[in-house]
Amino acid sequence: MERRQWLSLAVKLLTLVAGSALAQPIDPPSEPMLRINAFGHIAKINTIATDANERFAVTASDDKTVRVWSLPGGKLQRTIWLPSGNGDQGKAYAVALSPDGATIAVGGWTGSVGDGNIYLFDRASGALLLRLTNLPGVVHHLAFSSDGRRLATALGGANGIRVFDAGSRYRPLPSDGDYGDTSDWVDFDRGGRLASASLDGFVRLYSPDHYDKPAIPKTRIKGIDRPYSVAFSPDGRHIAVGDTDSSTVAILRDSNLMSELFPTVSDFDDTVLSVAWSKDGQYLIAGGYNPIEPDRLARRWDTVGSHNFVDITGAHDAKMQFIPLGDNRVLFADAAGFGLVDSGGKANRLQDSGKIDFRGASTTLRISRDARTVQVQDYLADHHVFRFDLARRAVAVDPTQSAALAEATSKSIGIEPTDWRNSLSPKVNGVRLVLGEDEISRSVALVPGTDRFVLGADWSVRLFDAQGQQIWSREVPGAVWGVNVTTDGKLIVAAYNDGTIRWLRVSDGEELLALFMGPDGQRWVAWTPQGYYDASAGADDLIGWQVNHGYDQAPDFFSVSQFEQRFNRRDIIARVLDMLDVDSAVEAADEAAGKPAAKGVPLTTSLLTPVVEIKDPAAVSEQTSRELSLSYVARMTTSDPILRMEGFVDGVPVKFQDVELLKQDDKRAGNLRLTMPLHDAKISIIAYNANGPSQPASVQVLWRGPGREDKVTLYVLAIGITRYRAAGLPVVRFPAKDAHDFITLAKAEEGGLLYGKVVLYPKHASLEDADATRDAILDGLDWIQHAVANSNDVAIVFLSGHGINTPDQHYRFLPYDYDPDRIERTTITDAELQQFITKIGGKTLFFFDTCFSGNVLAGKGPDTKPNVDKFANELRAAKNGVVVFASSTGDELSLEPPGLSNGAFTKAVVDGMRGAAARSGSSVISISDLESYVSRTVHDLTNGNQHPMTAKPKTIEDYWIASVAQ
Amino acid sequence: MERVSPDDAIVAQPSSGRMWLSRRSLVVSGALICVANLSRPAGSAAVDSAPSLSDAVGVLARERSAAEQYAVILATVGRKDIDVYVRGIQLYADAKAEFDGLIAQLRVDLIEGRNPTRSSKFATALEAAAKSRIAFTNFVSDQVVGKIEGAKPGLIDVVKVVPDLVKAITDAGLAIWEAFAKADKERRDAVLSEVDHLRWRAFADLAPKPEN
Repeated sequence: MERRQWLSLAVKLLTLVAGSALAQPIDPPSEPMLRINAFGHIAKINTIATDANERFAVTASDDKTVRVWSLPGGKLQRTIWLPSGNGDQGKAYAVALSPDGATIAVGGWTGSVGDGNIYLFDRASGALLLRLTNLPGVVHHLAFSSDGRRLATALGGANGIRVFDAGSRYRPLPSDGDYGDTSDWVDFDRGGRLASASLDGFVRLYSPDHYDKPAIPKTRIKGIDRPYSVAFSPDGRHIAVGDTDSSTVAILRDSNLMSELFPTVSDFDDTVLSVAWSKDGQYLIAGGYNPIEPDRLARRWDTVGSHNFVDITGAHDAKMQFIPLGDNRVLFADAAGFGLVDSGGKANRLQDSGKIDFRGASTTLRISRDARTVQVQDYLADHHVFRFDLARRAVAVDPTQSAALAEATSKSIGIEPTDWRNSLSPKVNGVRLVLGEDEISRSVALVPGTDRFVLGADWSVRLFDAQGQQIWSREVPGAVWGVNVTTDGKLIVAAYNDGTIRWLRVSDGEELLALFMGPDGQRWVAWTPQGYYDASAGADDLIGWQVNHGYDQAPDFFSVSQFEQRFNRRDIIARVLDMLDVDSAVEAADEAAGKPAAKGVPLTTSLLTPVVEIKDPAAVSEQTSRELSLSYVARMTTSDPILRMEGFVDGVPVKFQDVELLKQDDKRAGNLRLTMPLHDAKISIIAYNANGPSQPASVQVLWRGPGREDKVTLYVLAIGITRYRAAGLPVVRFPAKDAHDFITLAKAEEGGLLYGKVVLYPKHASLEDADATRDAILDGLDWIQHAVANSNDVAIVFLSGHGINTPDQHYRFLPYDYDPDRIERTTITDAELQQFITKIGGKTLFFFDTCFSGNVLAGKGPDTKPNVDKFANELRAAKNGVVVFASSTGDELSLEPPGLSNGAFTKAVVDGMRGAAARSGSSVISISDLESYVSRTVHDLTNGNQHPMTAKPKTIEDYWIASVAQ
Repeated sequence: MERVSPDDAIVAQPSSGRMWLSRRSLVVSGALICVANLSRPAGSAAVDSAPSLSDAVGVLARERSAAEQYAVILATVGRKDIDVYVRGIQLYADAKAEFDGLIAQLRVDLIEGRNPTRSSKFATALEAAAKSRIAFTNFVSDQVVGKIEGAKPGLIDVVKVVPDLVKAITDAGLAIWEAFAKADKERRDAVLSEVDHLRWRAFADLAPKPEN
């Protein structure tokens, strides 16, 4: 969010808080709400915190989540969903982590108006431990004292600070509320003194345990009208102060709060949102918002007052917070991500935004005539262009220009919106448009053939006429950076701040469809407001349902993939823009699939699955005994009892003993005993009720006992069909050779670093062409299902040939002997493949190089293109545990580029597994190594026309699958 | 979940209501009272003089023993409130993981010929272990035993302050290091084996089996 927006929000908060004296607390909505679950934050990061041992970073964001990351690696460990509703409710502005790393304090717009909350979460489990209630203002900042005994907060409005005694279950201590404006920052020194910064112009200093009155008179700082940030020097003798409105940084004496030094700020135009000292006091670092040089992360002054400084680059947006770490490093958060600055002043980003930034969409959002294709440019990340084609179900990154895509028309004869770009007072034909208070307009598009236009703003999208009369207004989850309208004037396409593209009906603003594309340009998910969705392989976890339980319990989050049987409906998504109505699309799709027609109904709480957590062992623990005891708690979310548990080791189902320890109300505590393998393993459990499986709960257990696994056995079934008995299929050249080459590759692994034996079916060969009949393929699948006896062994199924999708949205593979007149009887269904592959008793990989089979079902249904994404997502579900490498996504063809003697996908897979995918110096190749290599190699081989996909279950960690050929 | 309001400054009580000891719990607690009377505070051996190797190992063994006995109390008398019960399991698991990590770090330092008390990794692991052990035992003391009305099960006297526990284990680590540094290979293997056996047991291995 830009600074102006940020200040606007502050004003909005003040207005609301001021009028809230009589407001009643309002619980967050109880019905399931769709939320985006990207890997990183999808809105501004406001603050970051770490523990004394610098093991974790915790970030708080406007996206209503708090995320826990490991340090120094920056790996996501946990996402905590906050109780939230629409609008601002749930936005996290402040976070603090107790010095021992055990407790996360979170505040922000975390309650109802006039009844602010601070939540205290257990960092390890994500459990909500405690809620501090009735705060009179929004929480702007939080800080633990260095001994962990005190928690202080700075409050919005003229509400001052509050301090809590963490040692007595966060008992509130007498605290100073005598402020004239919002306070934005609090900081403890090592001795427990507290400093605060307030927009009322004063810096205040409090003695330890006397937080109700400043220790010395509050002080205005020369050159700083509105102090925003404060930081004690490590020795406590100085306090650095940053200004809201200028680049001034002042250093005060702690004894009298008088300005002592002003570090050089020439050419430093940041407003100073954060100041920090290095741990040894040698450096002072500051940064904030600078629209001129957004890349500059911070200025770092050497030895205070010497005016020697370096400017550090590497920022992606407004700099929100700096935290000193050991070895003179600094942890930083900007609005888009976070990272570390090393002692030499070099910034290393650990995480970036989880979304594509649409801030430039008022000029870059382009659409096709029917709005099935949309294109937008990323405001950050090298300004990549992303184009999504709903008909092809694929994303293209930096595609060639297309004249078929048009940007919005923003003026014509008789209708001329003006002053609308980032403006509080947009106009049309000179008439000022009425928006919400302090609402800024961001984008405009005329509706062709009418006197109307669409206006996107910070909190709404609206339709106006040429006289400035509003026709309708719809609330939106964030700023609408771009809008466009189809040439027939029926559909609006809007680019929202949360990284989504939305299709709205022009007539009434009703939302029909939403799209989220991952910044990787590969994964995407599209959904209707009711939750019907279509997703690329590995993308069905990008959205899910949040279910609130009031303010006193952490919300649950259910990925949409848990309800895929009901809601994974490519057929509905494909129709909804034609029908301009979701209910009609559902009815039409049901009718085409031969199902009873129904209305579009969203998820309700009665359809929820259980929630399960592992309590013992801890998230990462060591084990020396083969018998692993695992304590869990499962919570029923409906009246359905929990029917059964399942246990997994590295994604492979294992036998276990389940003993119920305790059952009360809707919870059950139990104990699973299973056999620990002789290696580090990811242990997962899933609870089932009548609605389906829970999300898996997992722990990483490190084997520290005696013995190690012997080399494992690799089982391979490779099938490739180039020639079919029936005529009429599109010609492909290499599937049989692809299978043959894959087998050759596999055989070379025998006796290598990873595999003691390699076992093939049939012996020494692949199943090719005339040998690959339906019966032979099923025999092969049956063989590999039963042959793998050890859960550590690896099974690979390689499948290359033609496939189709039937009208009921199921994939069918065409064996050599398929009969086009008897499709149901002579093809192999996704259910059959799944039945065998998911029952393999070892780690399972499925390489899936399927080609579109042309109009095999001519006249029998509209959706015959093979939907490998849906099938891949089903296989990689936690309960199934299969790693899927698919040759392409959506309706893309698997290509055989000239000059190659394999399909592009197989070429990349074989080369990669032979060693090209290995990291420098490594002699083994992991799943992620291969994924990365195949992705970029296929892109290069096909000029970006084919996008292989990898889908990995949550129940497995990365593991080695091949060794570098000697 | 509890709530604290700055306006009324009232700390709400958990919703578990009145808690009564079952007959079986009293039997268990009686046994623990006996154990408590026989035990000295974990780490107390380190207070007056440098501990011997067996004393040093004993400090860590008593930490394990004390934590496991608190876990037994949780598993028996803590069953009235499932939220308290599972929270206790979680805290035990956290403490176990930290202590097991500490033991592992101690082994690494010994094997690599490094005085653990001069190892920053050992110091970090020790701090985390001490805090998490005290968090667990305090939780059982306050939220399980403290909420019982009437006769309470006895609790083993344990070190309740992080710096004291850190000092006790640091002293123990130093004693183990000194003994290890002087020992021959056979003795070193024995010391490593002893250290290895200081890992805590899983909660489920301590919890009594359900009666039905």
